[in-house]
Amino acid sequence: MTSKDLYFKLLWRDISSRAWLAIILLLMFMIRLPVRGLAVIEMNLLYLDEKIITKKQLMTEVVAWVSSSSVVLLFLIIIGAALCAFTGFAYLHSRKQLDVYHSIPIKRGKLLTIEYVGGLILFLVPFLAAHIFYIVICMSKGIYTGAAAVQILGEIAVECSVFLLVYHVAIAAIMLTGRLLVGIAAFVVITSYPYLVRQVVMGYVQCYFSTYYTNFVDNYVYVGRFPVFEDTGIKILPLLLAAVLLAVLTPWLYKRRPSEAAGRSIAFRKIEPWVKVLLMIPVTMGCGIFAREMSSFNQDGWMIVGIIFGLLASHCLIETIYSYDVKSVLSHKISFAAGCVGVVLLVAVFRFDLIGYDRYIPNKDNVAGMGIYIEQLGMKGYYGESFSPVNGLEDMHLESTPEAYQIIDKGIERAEQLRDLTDEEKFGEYTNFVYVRYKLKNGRTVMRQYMLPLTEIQKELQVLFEEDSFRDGIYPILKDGIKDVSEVILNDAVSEKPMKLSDNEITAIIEAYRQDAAQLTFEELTNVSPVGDLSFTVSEEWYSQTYPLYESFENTLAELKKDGYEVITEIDPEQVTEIELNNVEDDSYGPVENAEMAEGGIVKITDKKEIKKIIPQLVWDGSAGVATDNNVYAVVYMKSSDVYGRFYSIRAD
Amino acid sequence: MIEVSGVQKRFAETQAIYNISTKIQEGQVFGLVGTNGAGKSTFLRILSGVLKPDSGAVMIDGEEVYENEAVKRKIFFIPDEQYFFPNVTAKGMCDYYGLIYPEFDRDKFMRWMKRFGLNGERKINTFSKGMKRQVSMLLGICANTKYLFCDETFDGLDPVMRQAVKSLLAEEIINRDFTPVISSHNLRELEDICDHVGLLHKGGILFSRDLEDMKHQIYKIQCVIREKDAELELLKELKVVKSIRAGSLLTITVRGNREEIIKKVEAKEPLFYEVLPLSLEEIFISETEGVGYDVKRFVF
Repeated sequence: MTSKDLYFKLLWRDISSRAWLAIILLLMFMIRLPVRGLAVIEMNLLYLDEKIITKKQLMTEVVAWVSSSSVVLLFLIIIGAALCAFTGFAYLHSRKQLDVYHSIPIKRGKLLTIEYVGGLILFLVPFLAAHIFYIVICMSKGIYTGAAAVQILGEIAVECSVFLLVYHVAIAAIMLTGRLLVGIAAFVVITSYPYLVRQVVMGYVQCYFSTYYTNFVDNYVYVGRFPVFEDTGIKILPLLLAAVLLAVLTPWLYKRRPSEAAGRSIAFRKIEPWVKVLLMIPVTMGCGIFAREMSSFNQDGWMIVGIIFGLLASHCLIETIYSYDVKSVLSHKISFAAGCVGVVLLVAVFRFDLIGYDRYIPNKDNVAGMGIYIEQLGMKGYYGESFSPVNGLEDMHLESTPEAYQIIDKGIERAEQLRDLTDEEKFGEYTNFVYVRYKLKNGRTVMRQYMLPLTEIQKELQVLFEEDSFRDGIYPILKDGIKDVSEVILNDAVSEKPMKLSDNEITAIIEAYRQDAAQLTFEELTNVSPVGDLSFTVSEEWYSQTYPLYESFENTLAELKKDGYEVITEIDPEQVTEIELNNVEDDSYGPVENAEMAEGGIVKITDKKEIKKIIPQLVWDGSAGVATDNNVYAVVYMKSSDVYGRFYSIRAD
Repeated sequence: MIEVSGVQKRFAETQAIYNISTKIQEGQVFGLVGTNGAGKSTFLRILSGVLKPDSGAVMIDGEEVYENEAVKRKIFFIPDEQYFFPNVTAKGMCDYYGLIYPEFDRDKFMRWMKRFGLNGERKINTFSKGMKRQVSMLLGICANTKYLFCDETFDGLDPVMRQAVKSLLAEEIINRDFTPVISSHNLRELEDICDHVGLLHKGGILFSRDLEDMKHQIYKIQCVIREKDAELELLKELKVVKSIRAGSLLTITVRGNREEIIKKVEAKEPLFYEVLPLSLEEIFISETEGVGYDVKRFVF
C-alpha cells in the first residue's frame, strides 16, 4: 500500500469514526439556516405583499440571515470548530491513546494532517450543505439575485475564516495542554484573552485617564457585533492572517510536544511561568478595577484590596490547575513575584499617569490640523453606527490655535485636579466635555477630551466662534446641510410632533435654518435660551440631528409657520399648571426661597407669582451655551400640551 | 538488533531512565524485569518511539527509531493498558492495524481469535480485562512485525492463557524472524520463555545476561561435611555468593563450572551432597545481592 493510499484510508477511517459529529453539525446548521430561514423568508414575503418592507429590504433580510454578524450563527461556528478540534486531537491528552498513535509507523506530522483535514471536512460539508439548501430555498421563492449571491458568498468566506481561526486556536490549546479540562479552559482563555485584556485596559483608562476620548459609537459597534465582522471585504484579511499564523504554529508545537505531556496540565513546562504571569496580570487588574467600582468612597483603598485578592486567587488557582494539587499553592514564588511586580507597575502607570497620557500635547511642529468640539454647544441627536457628533472635527482646521491651546491647558490642569477624586466626585455633576482632535503630519489622528465648564473658557470660545470652521464643526448642518431626511420633528414648549412635510418643504426648512444659524452670535448663544429645537431624522442611516431654535431665527420660524407649524416662543404663565424642580439640595435655593421642599429634593410650584418669577430662569433643556445650574432641572406642566411635562435647565446665578 | 546506548529520560523531578546501554539480539526473547516504577514501561515506550530520550540513542537494525516510519513498521508495541477505539470490535481493530502494518495477517488473527474462544464481531468494551489482553497479544503477533514489545504481558491472563500466549510466542520465533521484548515484574512468568534477561532498577539497568549462561555459572549446593576444617576450606576454595547453615546442613550458592565445583565438594568427603537447579528468582537474588542490592525487597 502506498503512503498516499494509507493516508486517504486513515482519513476516511477518521471521518467515519467521527460521523456522529457531522450529523450533529448538519442538524445544527440545517435548523439554523434553511429551516428557520424559510420561516423568516415567508414572513418577509408577507411583509413585502403588505408593502411593509421594500424588495431591497427583503434582500437585506435574506442576506442578513446567513450573515457573519449573526450571533447565533457565530456561536454555532465556534462550537462546531471547537468540537472538530477536540474530537480530533483529544488523543494528545491520553497516554493510552498516545501509546497507540505514536508507536504506529506514521509520522506525527502526517497524523496531524489526517486529524486536521478530517475536522475540516466534518465541519465544511454540513456547513456548506446547509447554505446550499438555504440558497435553493431562496431561489425557489424567486428572491435570489446575483448581488445577493455575491454577498452570501462573501459571508460564507468570512464564516469559514472564523471557523479556521477558532479551529486553529482550539488545536493550539490542545497542543499546549495535557488534560482535557485544562485544554477546554485554555481554549476559552485564548479566545477571550484579547477581549479580557482590552476590557481591563479600557477600565483603567476610563477610570484614570480623564482625557481619554470615549467614542460611544465605536463602543456600540464593538459590543453589538464582533468588530472584525464589520466589513466583509476588509476584515476577512486579519482573520485569515491570524488563522494562517496559527496553522504554521500548530505543527511546530506538535513536533515539539513531548508524548509524556499527556496528563500534565501544561504540555511545555517552560511556558508555565509565562502563562501564569500573563494570566495573573489582567485577572488581578480586573479584580482591582472591579473592587474599585464597587465602592463610591476610598476607591484607591478598595482597588488595593481587589488587587491583593486577585493576586492571591489567581496564583493559587493557576498553581492548583498546573499541579492538580492544592498543596502546591505555595510553590513557584518567583513567577508570583513577577506577577505582583507586573501588576504594581501597570496599575501605577494608570493611577499616576506615568506615561503622561492626560498631559499630552503634541509637538506643535508636528500638528497638521486641529479641531475642538464643545459638547454643550453642539448639535444633539441620536447617533447611529455611521454618525457621531464629533464627526464634525474631521474637517475642522482651527486657525485660532493660541486660544485652542489655552483651552487645552485649562483642560489638562483640570484633569490633574480630577486624578485624586472618586468617580462620584468626578462625574457627580453634569460637566461639559471639550473634544480635541489633532491631525498630525505623520497621518496619525489623536483625540482627547477634557471636562471643562463653559464659564471657564468663555473668552477663548468667543474667538473660536468667529471661525467658520469651528461653527461648521459644531453645527454640521451649516456645512453640508442634511441629506435624505425622512422626518422632521418640532419640539417647543407644548409640542413634540413629527411634521407632515414634503421633500421640498424639508429642504426649505433646512436652508432657512442654515441662513439663521450662520447669523447666530456668541452673545446670543451664551445668554439666550432657545425656544425649542428641530430634529432631522436621516432615513437610511437611522440617526437624527437635533438643532436649537432661537426666537431670532426668523427665516426658520416663518418657513415653519408657512407649513402650518407655529412655534411657541414664550411660555404663558397662565397655561402653566405646575413647575416641578428636581435635585434641589436645600430650601434656600434662589428660585424657590418660599416654596416647600418635598422628599428627594423635589419642589412643586403652583403659585402663579412664583411661576412667573421662575419662567425667565428656564433654559431649553441641555442646549447651547447658556450657563445653567448643573444639578437642578425643571419639569413644566401645561394645560394644553402634546407632552406630559417639558424638561428645562435652570439658568445659573 | 536493538542497540541502546546511554539512554536517559527524566520526567520533571523524576529520573525515569538513567544511562541505560544494552543490546537485544535478534531471535531471542528478551525479558525486562524490575519492580514497579523501575522504568520498564518508559524503556519500552522509548524503544517503540513513543517517547524521545533526553540523551542517548536507540537504534533498531542500525537506524534511529524516533519518528522513523521504516523502523516503526518493524515494531508493534503492546502497552500495559491497550487502547481500543470506542465501540470497536476486535475485527475493527484488526482492520485498523491491517491498514497500518503491511504484513498484518487477518486470517491468522481471526483463526486465533476463534481458537482463543473470542468473538471478533463483539465490541471490545464488553470484553473482560484478560480477553482484551488476549486481543492485544493476537493483534501484536498477527502484525507480523520483526519486533514485539509487550509491557506487563501476562497481567490479567489466567494460567491457561498465559501458557497459550507463551506457546504462541514460541511458535512465532520458530517460524519467522521474530524478537519479542517482554516486560514483567514477575520473574517466574519469564523464566520459561526468556533467552536473555535485563534487570531494571530505579531507572538503571543492573545487568543484562543470557539466562542459560547465568544458570550455568551459578549453582546451589546442599551438603553435610563431617570435618569443620574441611567445610571452611571448601568455602574458601569455592566462589561463594551466599551460604546458610541449618544444623549440619550447609546450603551454598556458588559461581563456577559445575564439574569443578562437584570435584571440590567430593574432595571434602561429604556425608551427603546434591546440586540443585536455581530458579530465575534465586539467580537474581544472588546476582543482585552480589552488587549490593537487597533484591528480596523488590523481586517477588
